[in-house]
Amino acid sequence: MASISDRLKALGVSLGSEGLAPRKKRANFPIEQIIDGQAQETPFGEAFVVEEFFPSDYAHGAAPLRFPAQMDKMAAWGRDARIASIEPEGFLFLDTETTGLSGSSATFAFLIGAGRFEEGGFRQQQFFLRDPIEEPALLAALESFAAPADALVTFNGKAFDIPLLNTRYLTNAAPPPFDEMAHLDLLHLARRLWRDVLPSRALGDLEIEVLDIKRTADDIPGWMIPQLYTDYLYTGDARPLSGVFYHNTMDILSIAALFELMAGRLAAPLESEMGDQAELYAIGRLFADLGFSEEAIEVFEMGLGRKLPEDVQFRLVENLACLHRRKGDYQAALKLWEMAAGDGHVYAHVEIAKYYEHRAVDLASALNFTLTALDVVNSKNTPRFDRLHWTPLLEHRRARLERRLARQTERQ
Amino acid sequence: MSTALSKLISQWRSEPTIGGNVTKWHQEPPSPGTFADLPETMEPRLAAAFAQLGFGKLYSHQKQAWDLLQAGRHVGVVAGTASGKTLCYNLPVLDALLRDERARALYLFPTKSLAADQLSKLEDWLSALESGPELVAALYDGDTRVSDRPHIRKKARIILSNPDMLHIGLLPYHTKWAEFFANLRFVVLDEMHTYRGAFGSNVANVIRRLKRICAFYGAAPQFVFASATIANPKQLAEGLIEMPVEIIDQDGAPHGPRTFMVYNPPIVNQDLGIRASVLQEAVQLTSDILAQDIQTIVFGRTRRNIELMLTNLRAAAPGDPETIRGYRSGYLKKERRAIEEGLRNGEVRAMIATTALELGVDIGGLEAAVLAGYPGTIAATRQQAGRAGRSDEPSLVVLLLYSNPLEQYLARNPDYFLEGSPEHALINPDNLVILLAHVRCALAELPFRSGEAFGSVAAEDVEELLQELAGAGQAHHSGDKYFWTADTSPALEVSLRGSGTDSFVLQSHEAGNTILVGQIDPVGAFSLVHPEAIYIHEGRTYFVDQLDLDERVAQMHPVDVDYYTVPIHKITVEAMEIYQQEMSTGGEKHYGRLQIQDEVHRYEKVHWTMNEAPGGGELDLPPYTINTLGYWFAFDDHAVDAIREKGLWRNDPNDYGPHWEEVKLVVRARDDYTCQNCLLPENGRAHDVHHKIPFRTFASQKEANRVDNLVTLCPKCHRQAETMVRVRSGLSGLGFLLGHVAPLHLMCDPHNLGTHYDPKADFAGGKPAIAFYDNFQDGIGLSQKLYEIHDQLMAQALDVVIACECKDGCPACVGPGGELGEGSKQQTRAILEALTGK
Repeated sequence: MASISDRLKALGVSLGSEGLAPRKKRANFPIEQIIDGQAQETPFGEAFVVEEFFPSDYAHGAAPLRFPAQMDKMAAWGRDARIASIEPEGFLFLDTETTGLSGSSATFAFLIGAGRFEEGGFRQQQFFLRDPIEEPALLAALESFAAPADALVTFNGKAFDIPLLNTRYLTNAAPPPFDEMAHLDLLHLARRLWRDVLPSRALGDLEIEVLDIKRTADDIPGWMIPQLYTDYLYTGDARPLSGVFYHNTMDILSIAALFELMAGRLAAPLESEMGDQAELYAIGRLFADLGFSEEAIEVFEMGLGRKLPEDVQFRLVENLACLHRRKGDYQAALKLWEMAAGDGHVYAHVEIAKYYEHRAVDLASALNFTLTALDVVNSKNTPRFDRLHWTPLLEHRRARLERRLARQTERQ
Repeated sequence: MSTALSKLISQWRSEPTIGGNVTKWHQEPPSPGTFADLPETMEPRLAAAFAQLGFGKLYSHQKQAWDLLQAGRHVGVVAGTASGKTLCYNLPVLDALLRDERARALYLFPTKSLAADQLSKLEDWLSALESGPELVAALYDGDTRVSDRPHIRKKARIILSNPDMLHIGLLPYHTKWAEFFANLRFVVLDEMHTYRGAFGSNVANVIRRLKRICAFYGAAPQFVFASATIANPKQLAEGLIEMPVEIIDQDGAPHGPRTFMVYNPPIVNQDLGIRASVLQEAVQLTSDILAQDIQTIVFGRTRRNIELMLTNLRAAAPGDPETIRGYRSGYLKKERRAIEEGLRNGEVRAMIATTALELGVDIGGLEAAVLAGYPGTIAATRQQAGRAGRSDEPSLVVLLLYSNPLEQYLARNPDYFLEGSPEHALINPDNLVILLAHVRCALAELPFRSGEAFGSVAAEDVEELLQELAGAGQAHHSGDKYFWTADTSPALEVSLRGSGTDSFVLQSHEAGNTILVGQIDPVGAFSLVHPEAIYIHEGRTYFVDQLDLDERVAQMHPVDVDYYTVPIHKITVEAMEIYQQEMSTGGEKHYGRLQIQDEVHRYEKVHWTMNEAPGGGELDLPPYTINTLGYWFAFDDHAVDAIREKGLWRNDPNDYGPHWEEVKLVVRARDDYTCQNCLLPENGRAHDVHHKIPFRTFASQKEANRVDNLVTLCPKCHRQAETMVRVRSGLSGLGFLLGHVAPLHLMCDPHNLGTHYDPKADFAGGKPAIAFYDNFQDGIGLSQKLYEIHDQLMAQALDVVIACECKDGCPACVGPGGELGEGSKQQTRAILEALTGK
């Protein structure tokens, strides 16, 4: 009987390795010769760990590497009451390098970077999978470094790193250690703050735009990383991996730096030196959503005085007026609406009409603003979908106001 | 019996132009049903829901299923349409889920629409149970919104899905389903008979992976199958899960009397064996039925057939034409629902449907069903026939048969499918190509330990495959484990509905849009979607514009034509390994590994309406090599001599005689070196010289080579002329015949099985031989079965030839001769007599 290998060949089965240059087997460049690390003992065997300590005065780009001075707004954004009371030592900064992006159990994390603030600086440990057989040990080592932590700080960790690590723990029949931790995913905050400000919210772009960091030539682009590790497993040559360690360290440090910077922006938004003031609008919106109305008004009003892109300006005025109205400060709101109405915003006419109808009970003025709103809607500058949206509402309002006015006249 | 129905039947019986064509009036007696009480152990809430939904007692097979599942067995239920087979699994599953709030169940259906249909049935139960949020059933397939998925994974106690989704969407993400797999108590596979061939072989491997993942989370679910009638339900079920399965095949549901009428359209041309059109006859019979105001469903094979019958029936049948409706894929969901509703409330009197409807889809029972053509398998015939019959009322089924050997065999031997169930649904889970694909998937799901088997695949064989993967850099071997290390998700590369990777994508361009029609195996691609082929899919016909071998895409567009295409193969066969061989009457049969070189070098057009000049074209496609399993028969000299003595061995190559070269020169000179058909002069290559009356039909060379029987033709015209006067050899007739009779035993499409004959076969030591092979890389178990039933197969083939009324071969037996040529009926018959000792 032919061997399975011969039969596969005869069947013309392609395993996908054809066309590739034959790779060299087992060159002897183990990771220990390339990266300065230690084999750490765990109940499941050895894990290869690289440790680095960054003292408090270490500068990562423009900002020093330090824990945020104020965490209350950050905690509020995280919508987890525990965060405000967790000590700096209780935050674990985490980033993984993986064999792919599939999110299935086919992908594993071969380099896990983790960092914590401690007395005098920032301690980073990188857990490297010398061989997949060491995965239980790797996960155990990570777990012990993570043990003191109560909160995670990641960049896109909610969608990627943590589900992936959970899968790794589960496939090794171990309970994932992160389930009970608070989790701040800075990607989400970056999107909120800088959607209108920056063209990209990828970590690498934020480093350049926000943190003023330039990576050295050692860095490896993320898309190359899975293949480098697969090659390493096949060849035993760890030399090309040093760039991956650098890449991972930079990611961890940038997450920590970004964390400090973002917390600072939230704590004192008015001190920002950011050139584009659209960020103020974003922070105002965030504060308003989180229930910090006073701070939101303050931020919006600051933004009002600065030069903003037209569409941001328009949304800012709408939001600010809304906050004033909710507070009961109709005069302030009215001033903004009148300004917006002057710029031809239908909603502002409607808000003013509502004010006159229900608050001031001045039906004639209410009707007047309803009619001007209809004029705006029917002008040729108004897009069709806006017209379709507003016309029935406004006609309804006009009819009601005319009925009420007629009844008022009867009574008089 | 309803008066309308009995009136119609007695009318038909007494009318010779109808009753005379009926080869069988089969009466299925009514059955009062066999009932059993609800088990006392049933969860009280479930028992209450049972009563609330209007059920009184269980059918006996439902009770049997309950008992066996309670005893922890794996169970397969074989039962007809509308026999309450879903309750066989719904009751035990709901019972278990009510008792254990963590328990889960997985229901797999071959199609999404079946799963959706079953969900609505299940929801009736869930609302009767007032189960609330703690007992939820949900669909989870490719159409499930991504945003809904996490919730369904967490909350649903019953997941309704399909094997493809299990393969691609559940197993690779098993950690997200950890809770589900850890508590998985039941896996239900409905329509088990569809899990056959390459699809079934893939599904068997998906189940190996499922069992492996469940074992990892500490679960060992019970499997429940439901199936249409096949010959080997136990073998198939046990092949799929590699564990013992108890089969229940006593149907306890009551049913009314049913008349099953087998109708063979009358012969209209005796010489050519041409019969009246099945479609026209079907329209006529259906309008008779409608005249009695009997609600009817008509099944046709293709969309074009449906449209033809619809138009003609609307013109022919009495009453409002709008009450006659078509129903096929391509209709909008809303349209379909309206037609289904119209059937239930009686507004629609007749529905004309493609076979797409044979599975699932609840339209209730009708009084009559007309099957225009054999649906391809006995199981499908029974499912379509099962549409007729409302609980215990009488019903009528009419089966009209086409004139191919298989259907003509059935016309003459209707008991063959009315009484027995001879079809085997076969799988080969150890097909190396399929196995390798799933070992890769399994490896990506969880590392393999050294010494770990994969289903029934021994650990050494698994390890050998893993080493292959390691060699290709996809797996990594370390310590006692193998790990998946490639940067891909292997499940995404494997389609369950093909035999392996490298499949061709079929794209249709219609009205400015590009639509994905499907995928096909590389093995079938050159045959089915070569350039200018007519490809039929779900009843629609497409014209293939281009076959891109590099991109592996066939570009096509929908057309409405009245012909189909037949690929012409040039095949060479080499025997690689013989696993079994045995002397048999007239020669020796073999089973083993064959290497097939298959070159599709031209195609021919065949017109549905016949009598039109054939056309076709040359193809420039590379040969395709298949290494597969085959069964071949080598004739011994004695048998050949005996046939030769009767003057019925016409398989030897032509020997045109010693003076042939000179004769040719004379004829070419006479014809001025010019094709006498198209007047093309020779240009660098000598034209052919053609025998007007075929050489083989002459007793002497000299007579055949008389110059007035010879004519000069260019190669193109020569080929056309040969097509017109093709002389079939006995072996070629045998190949045609067996290729069509084999599906009586195997549930497969004719193109799944390759045939080849050779009067001097290298693969049989130079003897005349005929070979059958699985048209799949590495085989899917078809030819082994044929090897086993060789004697039976030959006897049936002989029956077909003897019974056929044609003169000298027709589409219904050994295949037609050319229009001016000769058939091979006598020759094929002589061969079969030698092989059966008659």
